[in-house]
Amino acid sequence: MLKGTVRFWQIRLNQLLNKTTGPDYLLVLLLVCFVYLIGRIWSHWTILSISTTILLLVNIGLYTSVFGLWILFLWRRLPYWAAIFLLAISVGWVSTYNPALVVITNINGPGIYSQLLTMLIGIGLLGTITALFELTKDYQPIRPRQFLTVFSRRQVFPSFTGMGNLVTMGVLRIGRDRFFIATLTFLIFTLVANGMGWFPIGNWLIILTSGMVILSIIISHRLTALSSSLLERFPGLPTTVGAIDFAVSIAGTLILAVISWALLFGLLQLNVVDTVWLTGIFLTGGIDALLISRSARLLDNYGLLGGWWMVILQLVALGMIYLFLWQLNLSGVLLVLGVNMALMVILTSYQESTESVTIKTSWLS
Amino acid sequence: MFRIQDLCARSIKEVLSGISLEVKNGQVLAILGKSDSGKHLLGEILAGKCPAISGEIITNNYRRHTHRQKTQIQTGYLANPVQLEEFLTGFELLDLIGSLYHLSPVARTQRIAVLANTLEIGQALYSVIESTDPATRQKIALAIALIHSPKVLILDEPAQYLDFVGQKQVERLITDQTNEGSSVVLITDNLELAERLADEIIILDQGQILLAGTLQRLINQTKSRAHSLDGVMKTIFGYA
Repeated sequence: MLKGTVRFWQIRLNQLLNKTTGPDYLLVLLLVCFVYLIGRIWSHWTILSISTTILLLVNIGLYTSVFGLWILFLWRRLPYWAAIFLLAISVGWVSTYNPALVVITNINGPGIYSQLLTMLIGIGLLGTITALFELTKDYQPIRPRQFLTVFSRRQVFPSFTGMGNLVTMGVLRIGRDRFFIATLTFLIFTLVANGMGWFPIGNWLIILTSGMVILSIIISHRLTALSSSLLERFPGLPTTVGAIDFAVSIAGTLILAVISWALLFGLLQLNVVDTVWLTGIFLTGGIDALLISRSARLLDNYGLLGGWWMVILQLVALGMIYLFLWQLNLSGVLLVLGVNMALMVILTSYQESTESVTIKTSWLS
Repeated sequence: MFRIQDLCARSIKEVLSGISLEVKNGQVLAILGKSDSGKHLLGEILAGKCPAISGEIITNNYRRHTHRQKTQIQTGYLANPVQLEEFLTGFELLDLIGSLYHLSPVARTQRIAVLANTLEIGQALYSVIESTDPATRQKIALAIALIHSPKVLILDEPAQYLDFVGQKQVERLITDQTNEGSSVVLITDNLELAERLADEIIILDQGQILLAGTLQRLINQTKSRAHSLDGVMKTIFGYA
């Protein structure tokens, strides 16, 4: 009995923390560390506020885990319904108790500090929901998943050439990612939930940009995997790594631009000028990610000085990002968007080098 | 026509030293051997997945290291184990690969339909690959290797995970390809499949060619009593 229980939890733990989910947790952890550091620099971080934040995170985590797990067991045949229900509970909870408001009360008034704390809570909740999504894997029956195949293509698109098709597949690959869907849904629901409160626009923007950080990381992570693996898996393809990189970078930028436009323009009623600057930031971010992936490969193949001109181009792209950032005269947004870009850059290059090493190792095995 | 000369290569597990072979148009060459004999490494090198230390690979008179693009486009490869893009459906992946091989939309539609019918993939073609069973994945991978009707086909364990019906479908596909003039390199542990399909057989051991020739020639050389490929392998490797 005891052995069986231990084995059950071992399997659950393996599902929660494995090669696939590991990077996602790492991303969330990195983000939390970043935000914490910024919070330290930006404001006076007292023991009271730290303990309040930790307690809130733990409570949210426990709340969703305990109830969520039972629902998953009861509804094992329809895990996505359970996930939607879980999400609804979380959003209802957020909108009713407004944890961000509790934090704000604790730290004497809103400001950049409270906005960052709100972001922390959002990430904590998101992590819990994602972990529960991972738990559902075992219970999914072996049959075509309608949830994933809603946008399945059944006809060849006549106008799509090789690269056009690659962009489409890149978009589809991200769109079908459970983690991506969960993040996007959470982002939208949180915005709506906070809309019921009386938050200042800056708070909304912080939540929004934190969501965008995660989304951009997911996009770059998944597209890098597609880009690196395609030629490795199908070595006969008459295309080049550069062409694939270019196509998938376009796909990622397109997705980010569409989501940013929809959220920023539709929900926050930003003016056109700000939207243009934000689109510029995302486009330059996409170009920067492409340059990084290319220079990581050059670095790997030709040594430290092999991709020096790529590094210069990267600096130019980063410079443009910061120039665009300064055009946005919004409190707190500059900082978080800066973090967004830095994270995207660091994690893309990290992921790229890992993929490269994996390919080389597989050659030797 | 497909030819390699004095091929040498090394990986952590396997080694190849001085391999030379030729597969004529419309022929099937089966490569057999024990686990670490070098047969999988040979497949990966022929497909362009791994680099060789030395040697020459010639596909229809094009040398690999001078005409890489032309040799690649004429080659189809089924890897072992099969690795596919999990988040795409079989149809989407086939369409993507077909478009990267510059097939026109009409040609892509027709080719995907023919392959899906022959392999009887059915509605699973429109399911996300992550949710399909190993047999369907194997069939999709095989269809990808064949989507551009390659002149040289390298198949590493094409019948694994397939039932007897699936194996017959694979046999029919390989026969169709050879009838159209393609050269097929069949890397397998399935001796019955190799016996039925192969015109020539090569047996590798520790990276070197141990025996080569037609089945009859191998039987004569080993003086096997069983008059089958299984008998030949039993005589060489001495298993019960």
